[in-house]
Amino acid sequence: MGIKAIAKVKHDVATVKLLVRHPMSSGKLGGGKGEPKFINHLTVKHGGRVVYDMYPTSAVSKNPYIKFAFKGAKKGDVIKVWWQDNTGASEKKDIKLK
Amino acid sequence: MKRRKFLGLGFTSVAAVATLQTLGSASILSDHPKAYDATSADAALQGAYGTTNVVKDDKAVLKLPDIAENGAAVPVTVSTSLSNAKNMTIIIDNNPRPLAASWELTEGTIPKFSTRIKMRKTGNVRLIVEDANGKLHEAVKQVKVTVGGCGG
Repeated sequence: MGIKAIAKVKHDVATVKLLVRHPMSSGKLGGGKGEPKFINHLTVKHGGRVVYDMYPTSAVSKNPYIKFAFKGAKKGDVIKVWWQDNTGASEKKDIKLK
Repeated sequence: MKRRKFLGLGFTSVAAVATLQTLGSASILSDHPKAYDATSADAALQGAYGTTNVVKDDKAVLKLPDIAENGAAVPVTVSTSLSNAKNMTIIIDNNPRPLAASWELTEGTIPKFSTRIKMRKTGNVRLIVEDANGKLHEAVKQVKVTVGGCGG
């Protein structure tokens, strides 16, 4: 597990790029073997409000790359990244906007 | 109606397994978990939205390469010109489980997202955007896949 992030603010808009370490395995769902293991919910919060709310499935690539932007941010603000997978595993990370 | 019903349930049975973050949130996929198991694109659409009635227009915008050399990681960007859309969903016609990802749109978020998806073989990728009135807008793009990527 692990979350890498680049988050930059320009004017009022924060652009966030995330790289999440996760197998995103479809297992037998994709015609392979084994139990599937994939992130099924990923959120990013800024000051208590949800600014990104994604529901991936096993069709999202291994080690998901995610890019999005939101308004109303300033440098030094902290965003909270959180994900959970279908097996119940989860991870959190706070990222400071640059 | 289903959404309200789900919310009610969320605070009782589902609360046991839900974390604080998911508790109380409603989404196309949490409301309609069967959409995950759909094995055809139409079934995924029906499962997620309860209808296959979509309008092809320029409100849903789907950016994908014409040819994907590696089906295990196909770059995709989805967006909508609608300012008050509710959610966006990617459906990949020829995948064993066509439903690929869904986003709930929140205030302040610019409705333009990039990620990478797996495609088993050549075929259509669809983006569905639900507007504030519940109307579904669709964009379709065919991607030619040289090496499929669903074994993982």
